[in-house]
Amino acid sequence: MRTLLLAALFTLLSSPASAQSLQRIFSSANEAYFRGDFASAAKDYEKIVQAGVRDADVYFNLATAYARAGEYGKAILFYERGLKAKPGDEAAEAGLAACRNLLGKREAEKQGEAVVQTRPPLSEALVRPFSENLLAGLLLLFDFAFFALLIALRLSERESLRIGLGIAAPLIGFLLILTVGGLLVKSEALKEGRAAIVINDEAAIREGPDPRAQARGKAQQGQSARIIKGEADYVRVRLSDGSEGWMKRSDVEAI
Amino acid sequence: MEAIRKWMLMTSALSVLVCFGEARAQISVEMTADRTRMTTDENVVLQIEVEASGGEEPDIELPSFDGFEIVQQQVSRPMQFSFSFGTSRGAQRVFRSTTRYVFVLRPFREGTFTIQPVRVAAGGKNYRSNSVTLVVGKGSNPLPQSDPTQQPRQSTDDAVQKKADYVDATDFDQQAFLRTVVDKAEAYVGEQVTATIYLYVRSRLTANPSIETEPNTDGFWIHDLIQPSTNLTARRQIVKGIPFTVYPLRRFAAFPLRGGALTIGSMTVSIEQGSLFDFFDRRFEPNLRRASVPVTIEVKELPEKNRPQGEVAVGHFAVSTKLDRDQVATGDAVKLTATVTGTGNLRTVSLADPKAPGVQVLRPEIRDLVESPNDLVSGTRVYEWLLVPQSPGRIEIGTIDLPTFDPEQKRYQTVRSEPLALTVVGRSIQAEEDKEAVVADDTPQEEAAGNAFGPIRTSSALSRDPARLLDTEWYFWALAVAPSIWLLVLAVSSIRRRLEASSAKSAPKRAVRNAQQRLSQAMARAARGDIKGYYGQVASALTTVLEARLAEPVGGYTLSELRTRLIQRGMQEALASQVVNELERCDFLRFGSTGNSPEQIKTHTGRLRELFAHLKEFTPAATEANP
Repeated sequence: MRTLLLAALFTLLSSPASAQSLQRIFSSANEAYFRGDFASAAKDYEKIVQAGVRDADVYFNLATAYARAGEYGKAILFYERGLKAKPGDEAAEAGLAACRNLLGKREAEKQGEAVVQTRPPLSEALVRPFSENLLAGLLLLFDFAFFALLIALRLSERESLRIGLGIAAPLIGFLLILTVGGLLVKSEALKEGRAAIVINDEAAIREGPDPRAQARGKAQQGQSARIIKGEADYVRVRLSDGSEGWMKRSDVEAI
Repeated sequence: MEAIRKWMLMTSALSVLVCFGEARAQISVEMTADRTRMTTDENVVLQIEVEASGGEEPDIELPSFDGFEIVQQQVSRPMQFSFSFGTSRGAQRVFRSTTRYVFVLRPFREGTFTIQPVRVAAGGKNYRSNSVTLVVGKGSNPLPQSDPTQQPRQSTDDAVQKKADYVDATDFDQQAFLRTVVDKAEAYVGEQVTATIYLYVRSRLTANPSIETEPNTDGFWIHDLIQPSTNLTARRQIVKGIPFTVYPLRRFAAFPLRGGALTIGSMTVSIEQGSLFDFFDRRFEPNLRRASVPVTIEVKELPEKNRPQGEVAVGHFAVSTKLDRDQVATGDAVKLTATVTGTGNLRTVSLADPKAPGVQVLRPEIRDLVESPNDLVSGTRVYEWLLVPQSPGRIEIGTIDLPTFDPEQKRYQTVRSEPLALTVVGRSIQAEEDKEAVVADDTPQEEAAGNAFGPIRTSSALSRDPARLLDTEWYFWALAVAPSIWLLVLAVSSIRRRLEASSAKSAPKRAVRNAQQRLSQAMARAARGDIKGYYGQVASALTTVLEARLAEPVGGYTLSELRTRLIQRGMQEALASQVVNELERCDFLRFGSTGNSPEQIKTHTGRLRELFAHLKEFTPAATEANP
């Protein structure tokens, strides 16, 4: 039923008037937010996202609405998505940090201690401000420049020109290698599975993709994870603490 | 004349001096202060000067400085000498000295204090200085420090000495003792009482004393004024004629929490004497263990008369408030900050929530900054409330009141902040939604801290998923273009090189084939009767073969030079001679009339073919310099 509704909505929004409809929903969501009705605001922003909009501002508003409603797991998910769409968005970075801190405090109150924020590896931190498309564009540019230099070096007979090309080619080659590395890190090509966030608190991790399977532990909302594979209503995840198991598809969502 | 006059003066002076020596001792003693009126914040410099001449060295007895702390003291003897006149038997000793004491004193409290005269005994007589009266007024720091330099009582029976407004408790011991000084004997509930526990030891400590038991402070809220540290600062003090080194072990502000007699309990310390090296010394002594005398303070309840409603803060405080903005959308949160500053126990100060109709007031976040300059506990307590207006309009946020009690003036006062106004815009929140919001907001305080998030963005391009370059079909083709072109260039270069190499290698064979074709053409010419043309073609074919084989022109050589060159390039002499002979024959027959019969031509052609076959097999040696 939900799928049908979504399909109908998508059809509606794909019409020429879809842009206006989306703007209306966006305005309505903003009004709900200003009224303090964060749940309604989040619901409206979700509609826009489900219509295929992948805008950083919408993600930001959605994340903020969830955060104000106390749903920090979902807030983290959408802040992360917003940052993926618009790397280096300071407000989103601040919101993300605030969510993680608040979750950490809540966890600390419950458990006595909590990991407030895990620091990403250096390689990920270095490429965080750049978008994947920017890195891909740079790769193309350096690729052309590097091989053009090599061809020129091959065909050139003037010694002074050959010296200049011989200096420039390794430099551009180094940039090319850096860009390739950055793109590999950014696109997570070397990592198994897809990055995801646990959106529900105390989500059970099971031995198998079945509600009767033995529980291995519980994941906290906002926890980072990687979805390795999926099976029916369950996905196999590896959590940021290294533990692995099966979780309900509804408990974890890919960034 | 002048010299005689000087001599007479000196003689007179010496005579006077001798007369002094023969006379009885003369003493002059004087006490002066650089000021006689001061506040509790100020120091006074008191100077005592004793001049003695003749007789013997005087015995000086200094007065006590009750009510003052000795901040600094100095003794100097700028002039002291003795000499004798006459023989040793009838010698008369003349003594003359000046002793100067300088004390820097700090008043312990307000009041009028009289420093008693200095007593000097010399030659069996007593002398007294003047007394000095000092008037101490109230300073900016109404709470004095404890007084470590007053003479502790030398009594074990009544060790606690309660004075007008402070307590000094000591169990004197000649080796070491603890002394507790409390600046108030009576206090109100919530009023600061400053207590200091000093350690008096005869010599400097070689190690920090070990605290065995801390003083019991039940009934007090304690704020340490000096942190228990490893670095103890010492000063010297003479108590009952015994020099001690004094260490302040603890100083804390104690705020009584209830009325009645409250006791600051005994503190027990263990003092290590000497050092490890003294173990081998006969004077090695075991550790000393000392306990301080408990001190009881009378704590009075706050007076009931004129007492305001609610909790009363004891001390001097002021309240101020501010909003982080004066306009807000309905339902959005605005932060109200109330700052309480002043002296007193800030941690017990409690503010009521602000009164603002139509505004949801969330639980406040409280931050404290407590300091203790001059041992007076003071600082700032900040309350931060999130206010969520429920309906539009202008909202008056009432004053924030704080009832206080001033223990010095013994009166109540209510300090209050200025009222604030907030303009709220937007639509009202409906009752149902309000209820929902309250239910949804039934979360801990931190979760209501909405100011960490937002503000949201009011416009958006609502852009769809931007195409991922990596997902586009052309991207990897585009990426492959440049390396492909490069590979192509490499391949073309390689093919060209190979072709060139192959071409160079097959040149001699091609030349022989050409030569044989030319030989055939020459035979055709001979058949047509063109004998000259025949030999011309033959000579040309032979030269072409030689040039191709040797890879060098041979047209410039004479026949004998050609022969030498062929041999140099590794050709057998017989073959070289044959080549040269054939060329010579061609030149000869091209212009002669003999040997032109068809048989002779045929035989010649056959010989030439044989010669070309030999030349085809010939491999020349590397090129050398031409002869």
